[in-house]
Amino acid sequence: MAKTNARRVAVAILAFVLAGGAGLSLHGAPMLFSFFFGGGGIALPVDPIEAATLPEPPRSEPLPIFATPAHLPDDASFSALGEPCGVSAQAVEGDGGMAILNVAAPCKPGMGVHIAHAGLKFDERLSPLGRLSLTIPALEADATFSIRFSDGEQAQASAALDGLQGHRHVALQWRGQTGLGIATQAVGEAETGAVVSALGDTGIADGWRAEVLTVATEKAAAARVFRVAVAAPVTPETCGRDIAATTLEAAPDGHYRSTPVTLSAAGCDSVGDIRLLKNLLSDLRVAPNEP
Amino acid sequence: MALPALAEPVVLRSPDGGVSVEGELTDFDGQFYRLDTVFGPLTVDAAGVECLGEGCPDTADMAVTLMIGGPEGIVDRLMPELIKTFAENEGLALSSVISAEGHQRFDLSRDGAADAPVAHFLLGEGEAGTGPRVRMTISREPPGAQAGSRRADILALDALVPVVSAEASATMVSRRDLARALSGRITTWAPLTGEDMAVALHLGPVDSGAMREAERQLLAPFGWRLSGDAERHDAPDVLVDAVAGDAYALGITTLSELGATVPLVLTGPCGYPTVASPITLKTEDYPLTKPIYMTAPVLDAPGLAGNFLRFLRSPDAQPVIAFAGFVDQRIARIPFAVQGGRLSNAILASSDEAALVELQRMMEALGTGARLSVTYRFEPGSSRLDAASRSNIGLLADAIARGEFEGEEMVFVGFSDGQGDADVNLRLSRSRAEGILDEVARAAGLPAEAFAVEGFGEAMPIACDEVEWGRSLNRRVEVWVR
Repeated sequence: MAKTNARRVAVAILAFVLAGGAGLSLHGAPMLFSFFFGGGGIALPVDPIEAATLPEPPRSEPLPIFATPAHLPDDASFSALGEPCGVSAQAVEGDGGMAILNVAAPCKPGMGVHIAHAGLKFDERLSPLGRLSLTIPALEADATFSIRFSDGEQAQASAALDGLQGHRHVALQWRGQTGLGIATQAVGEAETGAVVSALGDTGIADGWRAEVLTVATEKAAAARVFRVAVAAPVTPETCGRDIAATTLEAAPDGHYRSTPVTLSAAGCDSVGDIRLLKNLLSDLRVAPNEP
Repeated sequence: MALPALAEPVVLRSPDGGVSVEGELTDFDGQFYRLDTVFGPLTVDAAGVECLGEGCPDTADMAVTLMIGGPEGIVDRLMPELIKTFAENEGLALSSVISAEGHQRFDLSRDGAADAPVAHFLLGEGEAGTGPRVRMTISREPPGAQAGSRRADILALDALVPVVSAEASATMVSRRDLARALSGRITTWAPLTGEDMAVALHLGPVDSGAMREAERQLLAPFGWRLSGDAERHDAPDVLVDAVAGDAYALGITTLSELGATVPLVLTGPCGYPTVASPITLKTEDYPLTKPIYMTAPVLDAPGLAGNFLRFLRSPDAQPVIAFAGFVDQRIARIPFAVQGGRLSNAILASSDEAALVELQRMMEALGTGARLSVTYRFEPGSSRLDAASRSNIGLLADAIARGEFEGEEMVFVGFSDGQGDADVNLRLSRSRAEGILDEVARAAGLPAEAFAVEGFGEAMPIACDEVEWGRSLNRRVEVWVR
């Protein structure tokens, strides 16, 4: 699923760049971007729903095909494939400041889910088997993920994450088709160690979506800087109207705080430009080791 | 970034119509109108007049607008963090609006009333609300003689820093060689590193406060000007990114905007290497330390603007300032053990046995103590404290009053430069320390006897006495606890 997300970013950013042309400039000079993808390089678009079917059902839970009613509680019901209904959600620590969230709700195939974590929120869709596996940047050490299914049922998963100290995130979230995205430029010995995660299913109209930049903060001999900007493409759909978004950034005491932000409408005569907002999110700098 | 334009013509009239004055409204803080008139600037009590004209604030809308002007890089990077923490501390909801021109405004509101903000904070240009307006200006240069109604404070510390790429060979430069490179008197790295490559010079805009300070501090002592043959960058981040990517680049930036570059160690004609760091800025031992000033109305600003201005001067703001990459004004402790460099300089500089005896006395007095980062220095050729040191009187007095040094003995320790007679210098350094002690004691409301005083004359120079900037670093009063 992480790979799918990375592909969506790749596609979204590719679209910016293709649409941008002259709009892609900062201080009058062309700006070079380095975009980072969780799963590798730029890939072709993949239908998100189709991609979501890729994870295999867990082998540790054999499908109870041969179960007889005598072995089961009276009120149990089953999915079309014979899995018991009910929902479960588990979170475990992943690599690189991430958490892995696994959701299973066999009787809710293809249903929409709203996921919230430390101010971060986005809408996803369960696979046809009623499953979802996501790699999510973890914004707290005692991480809690709240899951709300579109039928109103709720679940929660928590995990104590030890490896969060070495990473910092900045996030931007919004609702629907705004075209927003995080653009980063790495300076110095910063060629590695930054990942942009795209969260939220683009197929859900008016759904919440987020992009999160994650940077490893382990010190090296030289300083590393990640310039962070928000790219807001002016399209026939976005021009002439204000765009609402929310930023999430670390506070001095380490907690992540969110700030709602309104981007004033860009004129429709500038369709095709990309507004690059440099000051909406802070640059990330990793200081060098003391000599 | 220019100050937000507010000047609009208005007429202020007394209720009986007997007195009326016309001018451009420059400020309204809810209590006083400030007007530019043909007679000069006037401050008029709002209670006694009625305001007529398009430019008049709507006093029914009491949401205060704080307009924050100043250099890009400070306003855009430091203020959003401070505003966010301030809103959290006040329990207010915060939202932000980016105008079509890219200017940022923060709206503060009580919980559940986001459509009725109680304050607007504008960064740079932007449209003010209709309520009371307060203007605050941030600058890298000491504010000139202000109109009596405004007060300048130090918001944070920063410093001019010569920088190179992490790939560069140069790690150290003398003030003189740096001035030669910046003025175009040397154009290759050959005299500095032996590399026969052109020096690519990167500087900020000609009219920026940082560049004027660089010219004044680094080149004026030699009578030189900044080279015309430099690449100028409007934005400080673009400047350092250009330097970071070129092994033969040399740039002037500030400690708050190092990016991925590496600061050069600065030396004087007789050595004494110093490099910019939060500690060397707080002690002003780094010679190019530059406070960042904020200028705001002297009178209490109304509502949340007043709370915010008090917050900026408070201990609560200091961790936020450090988090944003600037140097805050918290008092740091420097244990004697990590001052080996200073001590070896002192031993090397000891010319005779009498000087070594003096060093022994100093070791006995301070060897178990820690130096505080507050240091008092004087304006060149004067006994008047410099701006940061004047501010340090109040900072130290406040910290004492908060009980930060409870149970410790505080010693004011004077040092002199090495010019003239050693005995005279000894007495002079002690009397300077007594003078500072008296001021701090008065500000803290304590008797002078609560503190100890020492003078060690020229025993511990930290810079070269051959040049004036070195001598002015050596003339200082340090504060120790033991």
